[in-house]
Parts: sequence; structure tokens; C-alpha cells
Amino acid sequence: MSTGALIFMLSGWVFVLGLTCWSFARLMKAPPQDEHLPPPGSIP
Amino acid sequence: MSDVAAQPREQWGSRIGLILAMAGNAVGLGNFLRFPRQVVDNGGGTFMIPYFIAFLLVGIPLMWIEWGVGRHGGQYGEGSVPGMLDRLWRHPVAKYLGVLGIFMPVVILIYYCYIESWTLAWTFFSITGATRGLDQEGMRQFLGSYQDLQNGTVHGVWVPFVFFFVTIAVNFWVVSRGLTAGIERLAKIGMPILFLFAALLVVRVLTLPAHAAPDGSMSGPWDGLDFMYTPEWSALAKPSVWLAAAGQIFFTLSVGMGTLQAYASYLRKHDDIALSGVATAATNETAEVVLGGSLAIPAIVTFFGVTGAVAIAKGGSYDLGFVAMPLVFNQLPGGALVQTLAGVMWFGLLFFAGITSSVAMATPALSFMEEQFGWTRKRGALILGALAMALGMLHIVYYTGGFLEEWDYWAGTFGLVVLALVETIVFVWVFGPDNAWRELHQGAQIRIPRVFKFVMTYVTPVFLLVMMIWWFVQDALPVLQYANVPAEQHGTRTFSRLVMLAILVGQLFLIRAAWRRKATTRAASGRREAA
Repeated sequence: MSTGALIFMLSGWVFVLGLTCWSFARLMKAPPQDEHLPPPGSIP
Repeated sequence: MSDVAAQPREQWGSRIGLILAMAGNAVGLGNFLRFPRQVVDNGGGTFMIPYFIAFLLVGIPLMWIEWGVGRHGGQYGEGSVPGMLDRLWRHPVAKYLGVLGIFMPVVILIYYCYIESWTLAWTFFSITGATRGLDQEGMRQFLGSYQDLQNGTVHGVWVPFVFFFVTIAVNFWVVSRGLTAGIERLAKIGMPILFLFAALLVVRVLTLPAHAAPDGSMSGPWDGLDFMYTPEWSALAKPSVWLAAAGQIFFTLSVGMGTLQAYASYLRKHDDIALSGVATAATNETAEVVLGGSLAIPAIVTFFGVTGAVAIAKGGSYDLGFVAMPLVFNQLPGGALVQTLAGVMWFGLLFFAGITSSVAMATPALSFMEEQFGWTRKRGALILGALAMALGMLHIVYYTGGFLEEWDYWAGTFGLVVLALVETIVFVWVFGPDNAWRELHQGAQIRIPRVFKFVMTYVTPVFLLVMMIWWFVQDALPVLQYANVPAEQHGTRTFSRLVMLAILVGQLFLIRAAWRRKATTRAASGRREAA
């Protein structure tokens, strides 16, 4: 595999994986009161 | 609002469940079958540059727009696009434009479930070893026989029907259980399994030793990645590569279909959509670029060389997934157990990718019938399931006549761009750029960079308009006129279009009936108040 291709591939992977990790890390930091339970009776 | 819509709607049980369901909707067969084929067809690395640019200029903005349209509509009890557009644009035509948001998911759902049933069948065949020992021609015959009921010699005529019925039954059982107990639970189980299977297969593929390709050259998995990430700069001047990349972003994120809006309608007014939209898009891209991109291409290049991989890709996504990949598994070192496991994991991950998307496709129509006509979820699932089963059988019987291709082109390709353009114009231009921007930031956990307001207002609609005009001239007109279609398929294809047209007209009548019903209800309550 050429160096250019390797750099391009790693840049792409870092971009999508970085975006995924960053967004999930921010979501997980949401205060617990932001989590809500389904309304009573909505689960059979 | 109808009586039923006034009742409290279901809500997502947890944010992680919502994100997984949204990502499950986006991660589908296209991530593992269509993406590698597009990469190979469009020059490997050359494709990846416009792909990432389209992700930023079309993918993420459309993701936010659809989440915004959905959550806004949900505040008024509207879980499908006709009602959502009606709330954004108080014009009689708005609801009828929204028909695309229930027409396309229903049409795509029906043929998608048929393809999904192949993955279930091939999982079964991997376990029984039915494809072990077959060469390329034998594998093609095996797939061809499954698709061609009239001339198939390998499978019994009943085999595709059985797998299709099972697939439909599982899908509609899941949706009949509702949002949290059905769709969300499926996503929480299916998505981790999908990622686990894909990750294990990637490790196996990338550690394969180099093999001699049929042309005598030695190639390994890293040669496949080299092909995928070495751009040919001059090819970037070709508009077709840019449009193919934008098209792939479109399909992979499931935008322009009505499903993201339906899921987002179950959010509360102050639930975040800005960060959740990014998380959904990013999860899908990880599944596509990191996992999908590291599976089929490196594996096929290892055993067939780059030239062979390009030739296989020309045969289409199904050849790639159902002919080439089983051939690769047959040659894996480690014996029958490893080969069986690889087959089960590949087709198993395709099945989970498929079902987490197909249950989303059922949601807009079910929400529409629940909210506008007071149907229960179970009743809706039963009736839509029966309709999908009946119409799906037409795909099984007439597959080789091009029946499915027609639906895939008009609803699953061209229609998506039309709906995306319509909703972008309605949300950003008619509702207003400032209102749209405020709507996206309601309860937002991140501040969307201001440049995206400009992108959503000008760049995304122009991109979509160019894409629609290009596709119309390049593809839609020739497809409409049956160019390059054998004469013996014309009858089946015309029948296929008429069935689609009947579904569209039927849904337009349902919208008309629903709004008349609303008007009657409003008038009656007005009279009661006056009395």
C-alpha cells in the first residue's frame, strides 16, 4: 500500500471515527434528567 | 388534528435507543453492498474525495433538516411527511407533496424485504453448506436459480417464498410491538451484533495472506485498500463521479425517504436534534467507510485481483454480495468451520443491517394510519404486512422481468432526490431560514457552525437541484422510454409501473380523506363550543 493511500485512508477513518466518538461522548455527558422513560402503558 | 393525534404519542425510551434506531435505519444493505460497488465503479480513491465533500455539504445538512421537519411535525401529532409539510407550509398543496414521504417508504419496504430475505436465505445456506465447493459459475447459477422461478434448477419454487414470508413476519412483528418495545429493542440488539460481526470479518479479511489472482498477479487485502484510497486526480473533473458520490451519501444516510422524519416525530419539543443528527450520520459513516469499505473490496481483490474486482462490480451489488463473497469464504484458510462462520457473519450482518432499516420504512405509513384514521399499531402492522406480502410476491415472480428494478429506480433512486428537494425548500425557504435555524437549535446540545446555515439555505438545495436535473436527463428519460431494455421485459415493467401508480393514487386519496375528516372534526367541535 502506498504512503499516500495510507495517509488518505487514515485521514478518512480518523474523520469518521473521531466524529462518532466525539458525538457519542457529548451525548453521554447529557445530564440524567435529559433521559426520559416511556409513558406508562406504552410498553405492552 | 384528529382525535387520535390529540392523545399522547409514544416516545423513545432512551437517547441511546433513539440514536441506535436512527443509525439502524441509516445503516443498511447499501453500506456493505452498494458502497463497495460504487467505489470500484468510480475509480477507487477518486470517488472518496467527492464522497467526503458530499457528506459535509448534503449529508449532514439533510440529516438536520429531516430531524427538524420530523420533530416540528411531532409537536402537532404528525408522524408522517404529509402532515409535517402541512404544518410548515399552510398551503393546500403541501400535504399532497408529502405523499412522497409515505409512498416511497412503502414501495421501498416491499422490495427491500425481498432482498433482505435473500440474506436470511444465504445465512441458512451458509449453515447447511449449500454453497460450499461451488465455483464462480456454480455460485452465479445458485443465485440465478433463486431469482428466476421459471428457469431455476437449483432451488424449489417455494424456497424464495418461504424466506420472504419469514422476513415479512419478523419485520411486522417488530413494528407491531411499538416504538420502544419493538423498534428500539431491535436496534439495541441488532446494531451491536452487526458491528461485532463486521469488526470480526474486517480483522479476518485484513489479515489474509496474498493470493495469486486469476490473471497471475499476487494481491492481498492491502492492495484492495490501496486501490480504494489512491485518487486519480484527473478523474475528479468528471461530473459523473461527483454525482455518484452525492448519490451514495444520499442512499446511505436514508435521507429523502420519510423515515428519519417519522422517527424524529417521536421526540419531545426540547430534545436535542443537532448533536443526535451528527451522531447518527457519523455512526453510519463508520459502518460504511471503516467496516463496509474494509470488507468486500479487500477480500475480493485478494482472491480476484483489482481487474477481477472491477469485473465483478460491473455485475452489480448482488453479484458482489451473493456470488463473490461466498466464493471468498470458500477459499478462507481454517477449514469448513471458519468458512461457515464467515458466511453466517456476513449474511447475518446484512440481515441485521436490512431489518433495522426496513422496520423504519414501515413506520411512516403506520403513523399516518394511526394518527389520521385512528388505527391501532397492531391493526396497521397486520394490514400493511399483508399488503407487503401480497405485493412482494410480484417481485418474486417477476424479478427477472425487471419488476423490482422499476421500483428501485423510481422510488428508491429518483424519488429520494425529489422529496429531499421538496422538504429542503419547504423547511428552509418557506418556513424561513431563521425559523429553521431556531428549530434546529431548540434544546440543542451543540451550536451548529453558522456556515451550515448558508450551506442549508443555498448549497444543499442547489446541489439537489443539479443532481435531480442531471439524473432526469441522464437516467430518468432513458429509463422511462425503456432504452436498453429487452422488448420481452416491456410488459412486466409497464405492469410494475402501474402497480406503483396505483399505490401512489391510493395514498393521495387517503390524504384527501384524512384532511376532510379533520375538517369535519374541527367543524363539529366548533359547533359544540358555540352551543
